[in-house]
Formats: sequence, structure tokens, C-alpha cells
Amino acid sequence: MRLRPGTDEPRYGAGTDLSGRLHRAAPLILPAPAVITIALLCVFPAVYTLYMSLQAWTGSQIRPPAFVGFLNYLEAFRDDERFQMAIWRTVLYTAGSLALQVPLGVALAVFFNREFPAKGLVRTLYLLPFVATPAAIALVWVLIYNPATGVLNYLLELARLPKGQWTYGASSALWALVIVDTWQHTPLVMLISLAGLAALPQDPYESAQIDGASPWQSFWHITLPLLRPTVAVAALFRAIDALKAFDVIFAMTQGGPGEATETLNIYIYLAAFQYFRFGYSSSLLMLFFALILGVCLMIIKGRRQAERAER
Amino acid sequence: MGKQARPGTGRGLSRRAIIGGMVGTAAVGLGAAGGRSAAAFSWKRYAGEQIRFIGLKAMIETFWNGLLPDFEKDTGIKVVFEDYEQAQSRQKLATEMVARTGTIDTFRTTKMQDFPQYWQNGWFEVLDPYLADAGKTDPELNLPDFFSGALESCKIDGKLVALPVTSGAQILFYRKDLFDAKGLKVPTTMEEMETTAKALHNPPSVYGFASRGQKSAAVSMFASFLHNFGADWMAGGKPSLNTPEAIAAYTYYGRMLRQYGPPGVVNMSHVELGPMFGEGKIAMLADDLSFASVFDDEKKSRVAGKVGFAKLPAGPKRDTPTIYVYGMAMTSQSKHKDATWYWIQWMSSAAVQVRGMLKGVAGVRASAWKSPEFLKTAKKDWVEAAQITLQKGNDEWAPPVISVPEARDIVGLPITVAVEGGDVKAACERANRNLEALARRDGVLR
Repeated sequence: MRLRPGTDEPRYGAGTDLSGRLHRAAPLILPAPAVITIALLCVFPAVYTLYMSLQAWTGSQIRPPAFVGFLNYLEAFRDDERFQMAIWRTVLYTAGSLALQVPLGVALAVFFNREFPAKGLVRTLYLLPFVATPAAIALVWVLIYNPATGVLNYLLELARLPKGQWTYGASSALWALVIVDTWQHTPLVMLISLAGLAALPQDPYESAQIDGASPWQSFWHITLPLLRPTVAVAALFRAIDALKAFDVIFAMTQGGPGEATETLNIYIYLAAFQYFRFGYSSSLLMLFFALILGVCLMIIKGRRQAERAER
Repeated sequence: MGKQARPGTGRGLSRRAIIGGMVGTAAVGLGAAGGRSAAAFSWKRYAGEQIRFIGLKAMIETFWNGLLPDFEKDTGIKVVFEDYEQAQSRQKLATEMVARTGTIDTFRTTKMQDFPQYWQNGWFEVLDPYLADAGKTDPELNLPDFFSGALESCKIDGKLVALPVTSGAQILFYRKDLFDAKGLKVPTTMEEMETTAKALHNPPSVYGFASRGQKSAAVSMFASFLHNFGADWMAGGKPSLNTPEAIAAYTYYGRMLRQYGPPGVVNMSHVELGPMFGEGKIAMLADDLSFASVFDDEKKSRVAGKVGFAKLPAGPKRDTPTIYVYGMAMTSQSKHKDATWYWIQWMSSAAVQVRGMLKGVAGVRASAWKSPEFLKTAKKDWVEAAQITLQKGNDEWAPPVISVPEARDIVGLPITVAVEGGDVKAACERANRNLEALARRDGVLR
């Protein structure tokens, strides 16, 4: 018996038009739920924030939002010293964090890249700060830093070193926070660098050895250049994190003493949720977003240039 | 008129109402506008109604919550009792008032934080007409019994919008043993306080003087100093933080904390300073009178029994320590206004305030402070210090604007600068500029 035309065709014939279309549309349909969710959770708030940033709207008075164009942005740059200082502090905090954490993290990675007894245990211990809860860390450091009763000044006194005000002094507070951030996040740089080290090719080292290079020379001329892309990724992660740091700073100083540790994120939080300046804080958020984006682009560009230069 | 409920008899009301030419519910509806007839007051008049209260989760709410069965027994009015942390409570009230749900009848409130905003938004029910209605007002309410400052603090634009229920006040805690050892007297002026602090200062075992240094938290405590030096947050409707008096006040406060305070005081509030005083590390502390019960508790304090209490010393220009009065208010959207008025009267009554005093809730009625039950257990110098402070007190503990949290950060910044020994004048100028911008935004600048 002869099959009717078409029925012996596999699956995509005229009779199965719908399933065929579905199949072709699958690359669109299957990710759709994820795409829609992301759009709702990320894109919508971002667009809405942009919209709000053009409104005069405060929550402490019942007045409907009023469109004011770029007035909020103008206020931020022209009148708001607090905002300008906050940018400066955010940059200082980020630069300080990177300057300490990247060299320290790479050094630790190189150290842990060798074999020695109980290496796994020691490495795990070094990772502990990174996995601890930020709020809990903050509370412990508050106790450590207390100039009158804290253990840090006590130890410094025992060692006959000068004592500090730490987070309790306007000139030292930001740096005291950088130290906490370094303690907490250097392990992340170390982890990423370790992964980079493990993936390095062995040939250059062998030829260097044959040529009689010292360990320092092979580190400086081989390991570091090869590791540069990895370190750039670590630096990028850390930069973004440090720019938007909030939890530890808020738990430790709430931006104080005075405004000494009031970074952008802290100021924007205060403007939005303590002062209820919804429109204005939205415009600050947009500026903050631009700042983070700018820093990321700079780091990525720097990395590309470095790669090109190598080739 | 025509609103005479007799205790225990529902009949008395209608019979009299008929005599007055009105019938039943009509009489109730017109009551507020009516004049004063020979009205008889009955606590049971609004029995069966239900009201909703929004509180600020503190010691006094716990105390009030325990009174609900008594209130219901006395009035027959049921209460839905909700309390939240301060910020959430205010957010909830604002949200519901804006949405006009009309289900919040009453709330605890304080002038500097709430009044300008709520008044401008029309959320308060003015209480004067209720007070004038003898048929609805407890003959024993006794308005003159309230401290006059407390009653003033419940008014805005001359209108009464709440009845006072409790008050905080800044007093001076000092170590009697340390004073005795050096033969020192309790300081009565700011100048004396400085020399006394110097004499007692012996770091790191004892610091001469402490008060809050942390920007926002310090504002209510610094307010006494500002006023005592003859300055105000705003004068003639304009910020006045750059006057010589204000700069002198900031400078003095900063110098006292820098020279005689514990290290790091610039980022400390009562949260750190209270325990430090309890450990015996501070000789004089200026803070809220409610700390007394903690400092005198042997389980929580090493200085129990050694603590003296005094009014904060007078300044060169004034002698008006800071108080912060809380009142019970009614919303304009309430659908049970008369029942709510009963709740307000009951909660601010002398009997309830005496019961509060026994639990450590400072009352705002002279009779409560004189009650024998309370005086039997209370410390004499604490009672004196608190009472005189409440009578003399100035309740303007923050600038009179609408955006209070932001204003506190603005006027608190020169405190930080002063404590750190920076340029106080420049900081005051900047604070003045910023407060002016904020007042303009708030629409309160004249």
C-alpha cells in the first residue's frame, strides 16, 4: 500500500506546519520567560528611575510629581557640595581598595601556588573573611576599632605604637573602612589569580630556566605579563564592588563621623529613604550608574590595549 | 447641645434629648457644633465603637497595650492597637493618609518631627471644639494640671492637635562619689561645667564630660546648648545658624567633647555613651532622663547608687533645657471621632499618668509627679531635675521645617566639625546655606 504523498516525509511537511514553526521559533520562545523576567526586574526599574530623575517629587509632602527636566541634575552639579564630596570619597575609597587588594591578592596567589604542608587548610583559612557575613564583620570591626575599648588600640599600646581614632575620627575613618574592605575582599583577588596561575603554560618557564633566569625574573617577566588579563578581571570586579560598597560602611559608620565616610551609595540611600527625595535621588542614581559604567569601560579598554600590545 | 449621657443609663440620654427638642442620633451628630448645655459626661457614651491606634514601638506603647482591657471596661470602646518602629510607623501613617483609607483614628506624635508636615497636609483633627464640649469632655480632665510647656508643645498655629501623654528631657547625670572626692559642687552654668569637667577629667579611667557627638543623634542634645547660648535654629522664619551665639554654642559643645569626652565621641550616641557611663568611665553625662532607671539598676550598671541627677546648667543667655513632648492625636479622616476623643482623654488622664510613672514613663501632669505612690519609690533629685526641666523646657529640638531627618543631618554637621576642632564658623555658614535651601524647598521660608 502506497503512502499518501507527504506522510512519509519526516516532520516538517505542510501537515505539521505548526510544529515546524514552533521549532524554528524555539530559540525565541524558550529564553522568553527569562528575558521577560529580566526586563521586568532590571530594565523597567532603570527606565522608571530615569523617568523619576526628571521629576520634582518628595515623599514628605503631598504634591504630585512635577516634571522639571534636568533641574535635578543641575542641582547636583551646581549646588550640592555633599554630592560632589561623595563622588570624591567614592573614588578615594575605590582607589585605596584596589591599590591594596590587587598586589596583596596576587602575592597571596603566587604564595599559595606552590606546594607546602597543610596548604589546603591554610588556604581555606585565608578565604574565611570572604565568606563571612558583611553585617557581622562590620559589627566585629566596630568593636575592634573603638578607640577607648577596642582591641586594636590595646595591641598598639602594648607594642608602644601610636594609637588611632579609626572609624571614630573624620580624617582616618575612610581609610579604616578601606582596611576592612581589604581584609574582606583580598581573598577574592587571590582566588581569581590562583585560577589564572593554574592555567598558565609551562613552556616559557622551562626555557627561562634553561636561560638561567632567577625566580624573581621569571615572576616579573613571565608570570605577571601572562597573568595581566586575569588580574584585570579581578580588578574590574573589585572596582565595581568598591564603588557600590554599602553594607559594611552603613553598618559601621552610617557615613559618619559627620560626612567623612559618606560615599555616593550612602548619600543616595539617605536622600531616597531618609529624606524621601525620590526625584532627586533618582537623578543621583543615574549619575552613579554613569560613573560605574565609565570606570568599567576604562578598565576593559585598558585590558584590550594591553592585550593588543602583547600581540 | 443635648448630649447628656448618664453613667450606666442609656435612657437618660434620649429623655433629655427629647426635652432639648432633639431626638436620638440627630443630637449626637449636631453635638460638636452645639453650645454648652448642662451636659453630663459619661464614659460609656460611645460603647460598642471600635478605633485604630498607630504607635511608635517604645516603652510607653508596651505600657498602654497593658491598659487596653481597662479602657474597654471603662468605655466599652474596642481598640485595634498597632505599633511599629518609628520610621515605619510614620511611613504607614503617611501612606494611609495619602490613600485616604480613613481607618487610622489616632496616633502618638511629637511636634518637631511631625507637626509641620501633618498640619500642612491636613491630617490633624483640631481638638479645641471637643474640649469646649462639656458633654464629651471628662470634668476631671483638668487642663491646667498639664505642664504648660507640654500643652504648648501639642499646639500648632495656636490650635490644639493632641493631648500630652509623655515627655523626654535632657538632664545632667553625674557621679556623686567623684564629686565628693574632689569637693566639687554640681555646676549651674556652662562655665562652671567646663571647669568641673576639667577637674574630673582623668583619662583613660574617667572622662570629664560626655554628650552625644554623632551628627544626627546629637542634634536633640545639642539643642539645649544652642538655646542656652541665646541662639535658635531659625529666627524670624530664616535659618540663624551663623549668628555669633550659634557659633559660640557649637564651639563650646565641640570643645567640651573634644577635651573632656572619651576618644571617638564624635561618632557616638547614647547607644555607646550610656553603657560607658554605666561602667563608670564618665563623670558627667548630658542625656535623656529615662536613663536613670538603667544607671541605678545594679544588674546593668557599676555605678548604681552613685549617680546624681540635675538640671542641665544654664547658659550665658538662657536656661531652657531640651524637652520632647509626645501627644495623642486624632486624624481628620477618622470615622469615630468622638470615641477617639474619649481614648485621647483617657490616655492622658491623671490616673493613667500616675500608673505610667510607676513604670518609668515620665508623665506631663503636675499631679502625677506629686502622687504619693510615685514619690515613695522615686529618687528625690531625679524628680526635682526632671520636674524643673519639664517646666522650663524648650521643645524645639530640631529645626522647624518639614523635612526633619535631612535638617538634622544639616545642623548636626557643625557638631562634628566642632568636636574635631575644625573651622566651626565655616561649617555653620555652610549649614545655614543648606538649611535655607531645604526650608525653601519645604516652603516654610518666610
